[in-house]
Amino acid sequence: MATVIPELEPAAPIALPSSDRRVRVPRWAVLLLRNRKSCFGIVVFGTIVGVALAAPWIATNSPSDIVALPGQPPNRAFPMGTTDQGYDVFAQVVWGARQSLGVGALAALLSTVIATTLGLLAAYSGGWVDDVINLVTNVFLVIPTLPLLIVIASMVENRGPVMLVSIIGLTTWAVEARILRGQAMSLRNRDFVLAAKVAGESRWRIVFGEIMPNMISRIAAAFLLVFYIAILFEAGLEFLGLADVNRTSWGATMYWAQNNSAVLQGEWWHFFFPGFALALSVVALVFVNYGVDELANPRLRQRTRRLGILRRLFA
Amino acid sequence: MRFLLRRLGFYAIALWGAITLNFLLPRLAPGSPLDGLMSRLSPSQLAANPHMVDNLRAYLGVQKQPLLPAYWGYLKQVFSGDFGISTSNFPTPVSEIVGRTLPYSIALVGVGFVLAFLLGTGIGMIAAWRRGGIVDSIATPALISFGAFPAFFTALLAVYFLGLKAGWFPIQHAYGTGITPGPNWTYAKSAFHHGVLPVLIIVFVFAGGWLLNMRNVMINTVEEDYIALANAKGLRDRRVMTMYAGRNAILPPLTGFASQFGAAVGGLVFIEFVFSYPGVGLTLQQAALGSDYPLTQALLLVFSVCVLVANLIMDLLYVVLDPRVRTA
Repeated sequence: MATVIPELEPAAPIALPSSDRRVRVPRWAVLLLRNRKSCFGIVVFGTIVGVALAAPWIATNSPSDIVALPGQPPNRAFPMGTTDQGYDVFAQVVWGARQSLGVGALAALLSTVIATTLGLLAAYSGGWVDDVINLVTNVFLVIPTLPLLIVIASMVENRGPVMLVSIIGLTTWAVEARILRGQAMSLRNRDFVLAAKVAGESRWRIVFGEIMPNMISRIAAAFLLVFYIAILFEAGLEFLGLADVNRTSWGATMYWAQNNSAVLQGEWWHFFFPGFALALSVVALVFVNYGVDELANPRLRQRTRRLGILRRLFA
Repeated sequence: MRFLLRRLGFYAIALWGAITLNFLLPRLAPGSPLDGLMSRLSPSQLAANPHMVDNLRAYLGVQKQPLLPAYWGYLKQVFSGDFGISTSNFPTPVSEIVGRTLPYSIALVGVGFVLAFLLGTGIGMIAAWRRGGIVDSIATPALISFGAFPAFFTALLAVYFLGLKAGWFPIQHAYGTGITPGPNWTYAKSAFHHGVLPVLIIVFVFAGGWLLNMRNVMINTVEEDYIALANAKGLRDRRVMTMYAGRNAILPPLTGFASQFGAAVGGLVFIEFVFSYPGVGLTLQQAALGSDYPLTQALLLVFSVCVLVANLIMDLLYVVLDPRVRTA
């Protein structure tokens, strides 16, 4: 991915929007917004985040209080219906976004920190350090993550958000570590790394001060990959009843739907709306990922795009 | 041969890692898992089985035994297939529960995953060969979006629309009520009928990943010179696509098999939970809810071993498909 195959097309001049002079929009953001797939993903995901932040103004009903007659299908007062107990599904979906996305983001962050540290250290150090880290990574890759998460969740007593962040973060780093290690390998013997080595910099300083800043875009891409996986795991654990289901989140709402046999009773709105919100967030993030992939690998794109910009960014 | 030996060596180490993790988990967990467990056991159960608490203590590592002898004892137990007694289905041995539920899961995930692989790589191949064509512009985004959907949401939707509303498929359990499992036609028919929808869901959830991998690799392959040569020779288009481009493009996606299969196993837990399908996934969920640690630990090991075995099969297939690893 580091080597961009020279294409015959001349580099088109970058037409930056005129507002760019006042408000500095980072170049990668401009690129991502120009890609149809990632633009769709960013807009959809941004909207969901916006709804989560504006929850108190959007959903005036409390998500955790019984506010209406139970089992109502979607209607004017309750656009997503009410549950078997009389909770407002709309309020639960809007407020639930906070926990679902928040835990997902923090878990992905933790996972990325672990993966970056291990992956870059392994790639730079080589030798036995690399062997050991690589082995541990591979072992974690073959142990199926969800069953491992379920077993860990069954053993911890407090299953609140902090615990969810920790256990999801600690179990999802392996995929990222492998990707980042591979990419850091290609930087290991670059001149600036060798120069830092000759200058007598310490190993940690070279890894985090020299190599890491040059990999920020790849680390961000790896974070995105784990972000949606973490959101899925968070909701999944709640759906299976293995997290604190008395909190408001998409997974918890779906757990109660399943627990009350909402599907079998035909109360589709109880599982559909939180599930759809979850699916939409994940699909949006996946589309952002495709955009990132296409930016990094020009061959995946149709050949009519502006290659010049990309070459400058990723070469 | 060296390739296979190296892989076997890795699997042995991975198996050891999984077993060790299994051994350490209850010992690393904050608080005592035993207390949580004891509070869930009924006094009559305890009275009837005075040794149970001792057994549990040994299992959970809360007895005052030094770590190394305990570890050695655990290894011996695992390799003799003794996983203890399930506490939530007392007094059924864990191995019996696993033996009863595992075949259902293997059938579901085996059939579903192979179909997902064939469908995904097949469509991925066509999509890359005719980029921007009908298949690429319809099937690619559709399957990829499906693949991004949470498995349990897809399963719930399928149960609601195809099972409840349309009435095409049974929506609960692995076979009809009143049918005894056994080698007879009624059972086979019922089990097949109950398995169709879960398998379909696995196929649709996991085909997208294969499609994307295959398509991304194949897009590079079709620009190779040997493809141009094959076309120039006047070979039929389909032959060049399958035997030249597809044949070479299939190798890199296969190496991603481990993580894909692990994800499929995770998806299986959700699907079995939604369908109340009596496989290892549902059993794991229920054992975890009921703090049945002997059972959850054994199941985690079973899951890991299944993934390792599936990987080994894939490696053998890889040797068949890629002549280069045979000589290396």
